Amino acid sequence: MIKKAAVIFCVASFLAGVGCISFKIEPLPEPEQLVETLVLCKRVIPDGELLAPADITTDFVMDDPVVLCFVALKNVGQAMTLKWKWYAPDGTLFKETVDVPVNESEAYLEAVTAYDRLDTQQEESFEGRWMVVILVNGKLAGRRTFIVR
Amino acid sequence: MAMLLSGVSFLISEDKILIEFKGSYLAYSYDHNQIYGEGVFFHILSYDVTCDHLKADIGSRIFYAYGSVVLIKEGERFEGDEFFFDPEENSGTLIRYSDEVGVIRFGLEEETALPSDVLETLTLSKIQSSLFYFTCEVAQITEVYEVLGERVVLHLEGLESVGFKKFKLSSGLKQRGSGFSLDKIWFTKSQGIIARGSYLFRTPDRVNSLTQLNYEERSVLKDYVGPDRQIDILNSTSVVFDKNTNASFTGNYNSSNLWNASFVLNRRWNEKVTTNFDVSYNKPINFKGETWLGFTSIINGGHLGDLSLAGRYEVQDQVLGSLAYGNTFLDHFTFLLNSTYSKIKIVGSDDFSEILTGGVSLSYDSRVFNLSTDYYLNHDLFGSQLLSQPQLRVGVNPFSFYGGILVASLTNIFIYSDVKAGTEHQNAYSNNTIFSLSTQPMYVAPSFSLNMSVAVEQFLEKEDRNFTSGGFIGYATFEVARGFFLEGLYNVQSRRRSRDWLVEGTTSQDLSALFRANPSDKLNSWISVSYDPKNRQWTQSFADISFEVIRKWKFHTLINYDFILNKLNNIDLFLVREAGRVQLRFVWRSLSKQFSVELIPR
Repeated sequence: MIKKAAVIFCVASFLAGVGCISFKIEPLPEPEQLVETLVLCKRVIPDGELLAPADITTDFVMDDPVVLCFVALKNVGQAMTLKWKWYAPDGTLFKETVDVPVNESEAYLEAVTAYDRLDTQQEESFEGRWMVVILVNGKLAGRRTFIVR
Repeated sequence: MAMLLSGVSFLISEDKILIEFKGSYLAYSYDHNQIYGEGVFFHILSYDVTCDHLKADIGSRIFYAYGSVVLIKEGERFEGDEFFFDPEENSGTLIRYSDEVGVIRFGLEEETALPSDVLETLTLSKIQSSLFYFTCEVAQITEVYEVLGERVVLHLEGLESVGFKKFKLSSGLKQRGSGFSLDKIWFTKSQGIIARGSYLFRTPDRVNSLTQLNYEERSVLKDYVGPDRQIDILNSTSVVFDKNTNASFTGNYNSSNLWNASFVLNRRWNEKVTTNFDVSYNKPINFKGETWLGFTSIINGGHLGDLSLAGRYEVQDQVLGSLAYGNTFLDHFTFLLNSTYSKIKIVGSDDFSEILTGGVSLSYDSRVFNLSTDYYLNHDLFGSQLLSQPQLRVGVNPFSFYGGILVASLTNIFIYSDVKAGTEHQNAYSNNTIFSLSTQPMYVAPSFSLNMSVAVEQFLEKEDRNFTSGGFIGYATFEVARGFFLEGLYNVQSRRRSRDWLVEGTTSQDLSALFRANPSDKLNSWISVSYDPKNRQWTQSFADISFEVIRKWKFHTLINYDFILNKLNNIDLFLVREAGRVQLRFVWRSLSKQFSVELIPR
């Protein structure tokens, strides 16, 4: 008898604790986060039909010939544009790409990989804390910070 | 078998809402205590804010909105790409990436550095691979950082489960507000009904008081011998008076007539001196209670050395006192001095034991050798015994030769003891010499290496119980394939005791082989078997096997087989789901023959 009372008490406690249970919650629309991976690396390597980042880091030295910003998108079903913007340590825009069209045929693509590069073998001093942002359809989709020593 | 009836944790009191998010999609991971949102609207700093994406790490209090961020207030409109905000401080930083990085600060007087943590590792995939995650249209963060959701759907291991109109998503978190909480109610066949509740009272930065109640009802058990029920009440309270003064109280009462309480006041007088005062009462079962008053003071004297003083007095005339001083000078010399005095009542009588001890040590440590002299004194004032023990320790620091392949060390310890007990007078001395020689791993082939070490010890003493012992350990490892290793270990230990013409001793040997496999994070296992060459018999086998069954679920087993008794000593089986700040484990143990399900906070 006491065990039964204990079970009823526990179930009542649980329901009181969690609030009213409803089994008719409307499902939310599918999320759209496209950017699966956004990393800085020293090189990219083939990965089947796609690319994969290699030597991932946020700490570069002047001897590194390039800084690569690699992006992987998933579940791409519409045409879109990608754009990279590189900001120098003083906060000024150092380089930007044009809007790169992706999936103009509007086919369903399970994954898309792409990258842009910052060439450090130029005359200017590149030392300092840099930023790169990536825009999908003109809207910010990710930002990474890195150091060049 | 233990049966969980209910494991609920909820607050009866209402907490204030710090911020509310509405979104086309909001997901909260219980495992990681993080939120990801899309098409989000919220209100902060009197602005209505909209953004494409939201990331929030509740544990580290980082809130980050990005993608088409717009802040609107009567006639004011700001647009940006990123918005970091702090709902508790009511401040934010809006960042816009155009020809330069433009920054607008809200509610921040000083020009703070640009926030750099954009919660890179917080992704939708991470949230969706949680053991428990919730999706909802509205999420609220309370002022104690609990997370509440409206129109919530629970996803269990990725599968959509039951829905709730309103749910405390972060239930069971350590962060909680003032109020009563019923933490657990369990029933087990061995312990009966167990209930745990607690009451928390706190005021920000000043008082934190937690009272816990544990109740066990055993009258429901069959054939149980002992009290029908047991109650434990524990209280832990801390109070901060100012940045240099704080106090704490702990109390514990048990219905079996055991209780104790203590109060400690800490005071930092300046950078170098700290003192704490304490009062405590302890009532053990079947014994008289004791009340102690005490203090401890630590003086950091810099180049003059560090001094520690402590004293405690008990109202039945018991006393404890200690003094310690330490200093390092001329770079290589260390001087240590300590002394203790105790006058403690002997259990079961009205007498006191009274002991004074003291020690002084001077040591010299150079790159090549170390030298230390110690003097230890123990004066039993009640038993009129005096032990004085000088000691000399000389050692050669480990040095390497043959291009670093060999490492050797040598240590010698000489101890002299002098004991005076009444009119009796005894002395003794001993000398212990230890020599060891070991090799660094020697690669005979790129995938095959050897390690060896030998050690010899000689112990000589006045009573002539002398012995010499030696040992050898050889270790070889061979990488069969990438991540798969075959290892062998042989060790022999010998101890010889000599007295006059008699030499006696023992020798033991052990030969072990081990196969280790850890080619990736998904497989990490080893199995070993041991053989005793001296007695020509197999002895033991151990296995530790761990591999990933499916995504984030790991199987783990520990097995021990005894060849001498010819039986399986132990086998434990675990099925483990790593889930961020919790770990879910299904466990079976052969020794207790028990199956249990454990949810362990990390």
